[in-house]
Amino acid sequence: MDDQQIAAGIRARDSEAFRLLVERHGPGLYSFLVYRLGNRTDADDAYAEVMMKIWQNAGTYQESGRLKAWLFTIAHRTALDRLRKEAPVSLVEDVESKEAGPERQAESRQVAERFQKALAGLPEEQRAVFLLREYSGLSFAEIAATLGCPLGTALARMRYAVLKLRRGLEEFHA
Amino acid sequence: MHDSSHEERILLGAPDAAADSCPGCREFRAALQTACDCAARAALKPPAWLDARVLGRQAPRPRRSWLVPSLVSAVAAAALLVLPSLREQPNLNWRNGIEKDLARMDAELAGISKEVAVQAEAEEFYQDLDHLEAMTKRLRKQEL
Repeated sequence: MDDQQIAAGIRARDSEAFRLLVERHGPGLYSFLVYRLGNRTDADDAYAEVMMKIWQNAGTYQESGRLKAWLFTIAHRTALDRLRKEAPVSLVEDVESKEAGPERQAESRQVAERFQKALAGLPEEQRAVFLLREYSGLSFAEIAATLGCPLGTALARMRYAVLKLRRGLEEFHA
Repeated sequence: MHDSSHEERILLGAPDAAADSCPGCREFRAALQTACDCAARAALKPPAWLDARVLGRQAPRPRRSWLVPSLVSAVAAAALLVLPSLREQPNLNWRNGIEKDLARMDAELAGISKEVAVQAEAEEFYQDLDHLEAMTKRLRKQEL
């Protein structure tokens, strides 16, 4: 089932289509929300909220667009609303996978902590572009449309984000 | 000469032979690769309970049971009674008191979940649980 079929299924209130959407796009949306909001507790709530909005507003989805762009637009706006309401909580919380073994957990945690700290050094707009690009796989034109900015602005924000992240992530390059 | 337009072309994935011989472009490519690798390694999956909850929310809607609102109201009323009294306690044991109350509320929430899982209507039930979780969070903030 491709994304357009999934979208049609959700519009027809098909639970199986929704399950496929959660399975296919859930991890990307969840990663985006965790790193956008800066903590897992808020991200859990936001994720549930985003999924509920997707289910309830499936009728508003335009078939001419990409499903992924619509999903991440909802996630971006939800995150933005939450960031406006409350100041972000402290940086890193438990970001490791509970299913992984102890060594894998420690490694995952270390990577996620380092990543989150590096992201925290970015201005909001740059962080949004970088996370959308990495976790949605949207084109820069789609990201620009999602954020309501010109393509050149989205590209410039990504460029600055990469340059600033370089220092914070140097050790991962080795 | 290296400039920002080269970096934007790299971001867009445009083939550019000149970029291979440009140190600035190579450096930017390496930085981009590092950032992408790290983002991929730091990717997370939603916990299974969260996906189960999300999927449960759009389940078919059976008739709402009277049990849910009454139990939820009982727990909410208990929390409202407990909260002011905790605030007033001047002694240093108040933390223990809050922790016990939080544990009791957690247990009650778990009990409610079990009792009404079969008969309660899913969406409204989860809204009630959200309400109780929010209350629990507020209590935890009091604890901090």
